[in-house]
Amino acid sequence: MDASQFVVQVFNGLVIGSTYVLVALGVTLIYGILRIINFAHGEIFMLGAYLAYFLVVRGHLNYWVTAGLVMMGCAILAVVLERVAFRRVRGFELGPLITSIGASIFLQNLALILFGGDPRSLPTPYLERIVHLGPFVFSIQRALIIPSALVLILGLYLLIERTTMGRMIRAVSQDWEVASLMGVNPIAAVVVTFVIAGALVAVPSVLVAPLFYVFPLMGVTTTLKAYTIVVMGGFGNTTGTIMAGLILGVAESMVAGLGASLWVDAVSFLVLIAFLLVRPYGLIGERREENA
Amino acid sequence: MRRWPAAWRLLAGLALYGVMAGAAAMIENAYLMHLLILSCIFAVLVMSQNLVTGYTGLLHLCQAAFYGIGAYASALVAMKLHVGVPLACLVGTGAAAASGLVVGLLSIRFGGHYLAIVTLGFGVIVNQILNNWVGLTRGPMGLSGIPAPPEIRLVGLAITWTPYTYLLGGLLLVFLTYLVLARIRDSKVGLMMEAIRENELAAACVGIRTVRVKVVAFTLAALLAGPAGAMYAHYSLMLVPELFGFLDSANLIAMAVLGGLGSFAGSIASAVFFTVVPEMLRVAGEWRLVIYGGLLLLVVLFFPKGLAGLGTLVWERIAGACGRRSSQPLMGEGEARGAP
Repeated sequence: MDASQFVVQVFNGLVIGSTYVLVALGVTLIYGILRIINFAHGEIFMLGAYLAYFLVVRGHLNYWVTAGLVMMGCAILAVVLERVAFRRVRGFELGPLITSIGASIFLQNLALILFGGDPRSLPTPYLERIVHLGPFVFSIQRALIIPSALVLILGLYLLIERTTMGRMIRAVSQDWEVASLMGVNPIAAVVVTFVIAGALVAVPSVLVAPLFYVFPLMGVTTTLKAYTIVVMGGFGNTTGTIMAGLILGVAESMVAGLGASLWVDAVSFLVLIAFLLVRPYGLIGERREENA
Repeated sequence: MRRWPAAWRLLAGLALYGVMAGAAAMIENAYLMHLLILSCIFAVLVMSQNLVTGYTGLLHLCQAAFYGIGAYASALVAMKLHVGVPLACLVGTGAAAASGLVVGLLSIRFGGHYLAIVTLGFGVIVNQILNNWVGLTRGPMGLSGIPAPPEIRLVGLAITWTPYTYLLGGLLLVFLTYLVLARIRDSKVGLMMEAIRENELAAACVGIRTVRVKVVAFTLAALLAGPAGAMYAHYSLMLVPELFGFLDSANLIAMAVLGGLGSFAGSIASAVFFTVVPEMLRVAGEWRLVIYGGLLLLVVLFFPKGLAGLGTLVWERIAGACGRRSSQPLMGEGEARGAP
């Protein structure tokens, strides 16, 4: 791998990494507030991509209008999922895990029936266009992803740290009981969290789907990746999640660049296990009792 | 709970086995036979999953990988080294147990969701090896031409392998697994496992070697999954990696939860139920898995203690109707409604 290939692989890695981050941030926010792993998050990603496909191909809508609509659609879907699969089983250790697996199987197969198993490609106005930057060539579609992720992450940071709503979410994440004693409505905080998580996962649906294909099982690997990143970053730790996502993206891109693309998943999990043996509490997490 | 003497239980077990074997002999539908054989295999897997998840309280997401290792090791040893099928099954069991030991040792450092992701990762790695090491496993094309077990000659009686004898073998496997697991549950180790589930720190404080017990739990779960894998390999004579992926592990833990954590009988019931029902849903055609996913969701939402909890509930109702005072509160009810 020479230097220019190396730069391209790092760039591709950052692109994939940013999308992982956006999916994983949703998972980590939900974990933070409910202490559950949402295995169906990847299915929201998948349905978002289908929604984008239909809006663009059938509805002939503008790409950016589509992005906005898909964000809304995914947010609604996430809220429905919370209501159906999680609200009733809050507090059971394994209940939410199984309901989310059930919801995931349900949605995957529903998509398979409704849309068929054939992969579809989502056309965008930016896929063919490229920019030259010195000796390197980048596609605009890919290049769009990094700034979008940056903007969203910054927005999320401001929302969580600077607004009343964010304070509400943080309070409930820290202590459900005490927060509700202080007059915070915990259910409202949970719903807001799912809205944010859904909106965040919509962005990779719209931006990344054109690079690959849209198919019913596209959410499965995404969920596993998001889960890996959330663990690597330290559960519920936003900064750690961002770092872990970018690292994983670049690492995978390197493995693929070395010609071992079939082994990408195995390598990333091997790295994860080795990493956890050294730092069992995540990248920048501190030692704490897990109260899951 | 009142316990019968060991000899009685053994007799009762033998009688039950005899009744089941007799009932199985009356089945003429080949497809139902096949489903029951699969149910036996899944019952073994779900019971051993329950040992780790239900009794020791560890989130374990790679039971299908143990099963796959047992299946592939046994099949490959029989095919490449031309040893007999019984020996190959033993090797498969050994390989599965060894993989369980590895995961168990990894579990020393992790708990809760961290353990879940490590086991999940182990499962993904195993699956990628099965998929990508085409030279050995033939990858996604699948391994075919696995030898069937040889005839068994017992005092002049030749037993050939028909679906019926496979089912008898499967039932035997279920009985033996249940026996082993029930012995463990009632032993000191079983109590230690439950102590760890309830409170690991407190368990360590009273002198339980929690690390050792957890490693034992994982190794046993894999050791018992090994024969199930070997049986599947030499029954279906064809293996593909998709049978042993993440979704299959998720399915097994789902079955364990739905059967009732900490109830081996519940595990058996749920393995049979969730193997046969999705197949019966074949009349629903392509909607089969949609219904199955919805069913998983609904069962957890409405029967959080699983089939075993439902069984207890029904039993208490019957006992109540017969005028007996119920000895303990209905399992699950308080928690289901009163979750904070």
